[in-house]
Amino acid sequence: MLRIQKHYLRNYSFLLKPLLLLLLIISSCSPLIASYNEHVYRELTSLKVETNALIGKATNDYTNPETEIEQLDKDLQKLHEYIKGLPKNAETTKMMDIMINGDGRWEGIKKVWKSSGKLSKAATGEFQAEIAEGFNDMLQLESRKIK
Amino acid sequence: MPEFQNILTELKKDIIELAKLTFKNYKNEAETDVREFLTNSEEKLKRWTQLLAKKELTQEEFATLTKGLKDSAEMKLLKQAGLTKIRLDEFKGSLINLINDTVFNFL
Repeated sequence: MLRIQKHYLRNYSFLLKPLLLLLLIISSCSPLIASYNEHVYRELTSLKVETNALIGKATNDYTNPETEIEQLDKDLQKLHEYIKGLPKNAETTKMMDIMINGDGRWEGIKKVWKSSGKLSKAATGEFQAEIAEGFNDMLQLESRKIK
Repeated sequence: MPEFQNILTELKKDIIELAKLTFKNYKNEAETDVREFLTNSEEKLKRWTQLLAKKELTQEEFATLTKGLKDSAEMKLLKQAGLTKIRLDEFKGSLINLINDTVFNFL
């Protein structure tokens, strides 16, 4: 250590202690929210595209793409479980839950598609926009998380 | 001792500035988001009602779409809650840097 540094440390150590203590207290507080997760971001982007593509097929009979619907359900559930397992991730977990089970999101769209047999062209367009908006909200939150 | 007071005063001023800047920007962003949501919801409802009247949407489809507005509002609130936490974490990080800089400038 340089002589000049020793001099300052000796003379101003009374100030250093409270500041370092303050620094230690603030640093020891754990973050309030999970950090950015690339896997989550990538999967959300991919599921946004897949869900919208599938809704695009809703002008056809529900039974036609039933296997694809089952696969998408599985993929959505897998990501939901992964997100749920990340610590301090309550907001994203709840958003994913709404996206899957919401009356006006995927579950609601599936129900009306199944009960009607097929959806009108106008409805598929509107549902696609709604689903895209929901995924965009999730992507925006994920991308703003600290990297 | 007066130097100690000066540094604390400086630090206090910087922390207040940092807090103001961090949370003022966030408040504006959140307000814009809410305003946009309300305007968009109004436009959507108008459009869906017209489509329903023209029988381009069924009653069931219309009902599902309107239920979606509640889902959308909930998701936006959750997004804002998450963004608030991110801002607080960022603020904490900036605070640590600020104190670090003050300590090392002082040395």
